[in-house]
Amino acid sequence: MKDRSGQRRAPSELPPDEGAPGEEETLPEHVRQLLEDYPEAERRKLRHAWKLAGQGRPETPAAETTETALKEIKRRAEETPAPPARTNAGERGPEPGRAEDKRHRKPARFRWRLAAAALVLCTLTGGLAWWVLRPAEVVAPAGQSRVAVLPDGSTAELSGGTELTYYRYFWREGRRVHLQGEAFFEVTKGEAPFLVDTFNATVRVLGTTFNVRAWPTDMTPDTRVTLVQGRLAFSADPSARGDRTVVLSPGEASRVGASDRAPAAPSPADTGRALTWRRGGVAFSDQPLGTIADEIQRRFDVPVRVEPGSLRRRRVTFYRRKVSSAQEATEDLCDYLRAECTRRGDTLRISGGPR
Amino acid sequence: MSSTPNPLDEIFQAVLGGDEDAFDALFRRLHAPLLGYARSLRAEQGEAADAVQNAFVRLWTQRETFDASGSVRALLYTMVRNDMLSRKRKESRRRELRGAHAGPEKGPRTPSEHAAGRALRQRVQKWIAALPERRQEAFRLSRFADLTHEEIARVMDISPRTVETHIRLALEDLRERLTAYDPDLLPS
Repeated sequence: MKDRSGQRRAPSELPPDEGAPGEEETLPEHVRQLLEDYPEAERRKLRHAWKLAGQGRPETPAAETTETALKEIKRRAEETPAPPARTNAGERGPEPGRAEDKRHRKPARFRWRLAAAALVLCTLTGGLAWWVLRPAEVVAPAGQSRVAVLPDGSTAELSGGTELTYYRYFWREGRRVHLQGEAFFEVTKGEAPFLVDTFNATVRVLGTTFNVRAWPTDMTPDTRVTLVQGRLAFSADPSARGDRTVVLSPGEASRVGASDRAPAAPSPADTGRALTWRRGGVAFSDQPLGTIADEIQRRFDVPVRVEPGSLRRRRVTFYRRKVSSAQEATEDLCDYLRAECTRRGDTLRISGGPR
Repeated sequence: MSSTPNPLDEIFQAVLGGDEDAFDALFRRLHAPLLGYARSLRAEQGEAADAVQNAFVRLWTQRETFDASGSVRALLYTMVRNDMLSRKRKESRRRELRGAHAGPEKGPRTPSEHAAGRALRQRVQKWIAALPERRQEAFRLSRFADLTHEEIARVMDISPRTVETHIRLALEDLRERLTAYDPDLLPS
């Protein structure tokens, strides 16, 4: 008879976890679900590892400490002015060079309170300034897409792993966002131009729908723009004006490589393909395998490795209307490349293949 | 997100409404695990306690500004985490300026363990401490703070899937160490 708990098997080694009594019986729901992916034998071991890990629980403070801490908090909370009261609490100004108040020494306790009040005030003012001026950042986590709604009602649908940043406070001065990754923009008509900056280029529009792909981490990094509707100016310089600017008409695309000084002449594009990512597909035409693997990794939040480097650089044309998992996509790629696909834990590996 | 109605959510709402008793209850419930978490971020003991205090003071004094529909645990852990991280940043800057290295700071371990089980307990603690930093953090939040994957994702600012991966790998790692230590401890 095997005893699963292990506790009775080695009683001297495993006292019950007194830190949280009763937790030995059940696993939290989300952990239980996670373990369901494992085969039964493995699952039991991992469940046990989870239980044993409870032994590593940090020491909990004695109840008395908790009560002392609670009292201290009450005291501090009372001192903290609910609305930022205008105390003359400049004893420790925000500038380090500021003269200190040396007129008279106050009792330590009082000074401490003043300092605390000053600190709170500084934090509040600083916090306010930061709050007003902070860049707004919309991030689509790896494996998920996300729609960013901008202050003017324009939207940007972000592909997995993409970051979009802008400044709310300066929005009235000009509509301007910074993009790292890939997004589909639907820009509402406005007086001011709408600018999208990427790591190496700028797109300037008034009111249009278009797709921008700009991954600085790609093997051959570039910014690619595909226009669906309206008109758009595309340039390697931040004003997106001047003579090196390219103007796109609907159904056209252009790109700027990392070292280019101007975008390529507009060429007719298959907009459906450029937007395939929005429906969960992938479309790459003559791109390094490494770039494609990175995209799959971002889209599904699953590590995808390609070995050796020569395979990473190999150019591939790969189009799927829809892929539902990283494994499916890599297996397709492997079939096509006659390469080998293996899986270890979470990581998918594409390796070998004829040169 | 959270499937069952959580009593913590109710307490949180009462706190936001200005209920002091609810605040006390919340504090008693979350103080210890928060402190444990703050300490695990390689902090001096005093700093960890301070960070936890700050979080609760902010929760109370700025209760008008928080969103009642959010998770109070995610909120408090995030506040503690940010506080600890900014302290660490400051500390490392100070150290850089001094050009000195104070050596690796290990969380203080009070030797209050019972004699029985001490060896294994210490080992388990060491194994957890040996996990990569982020993985360890995700695992601690899951194991000792009972946060859901979504809450951990919010606290650590990563995707829930990454949280899952961290926890999976942490468990696999612990299982391996356990096997190496004493295969008899595991069910076959």
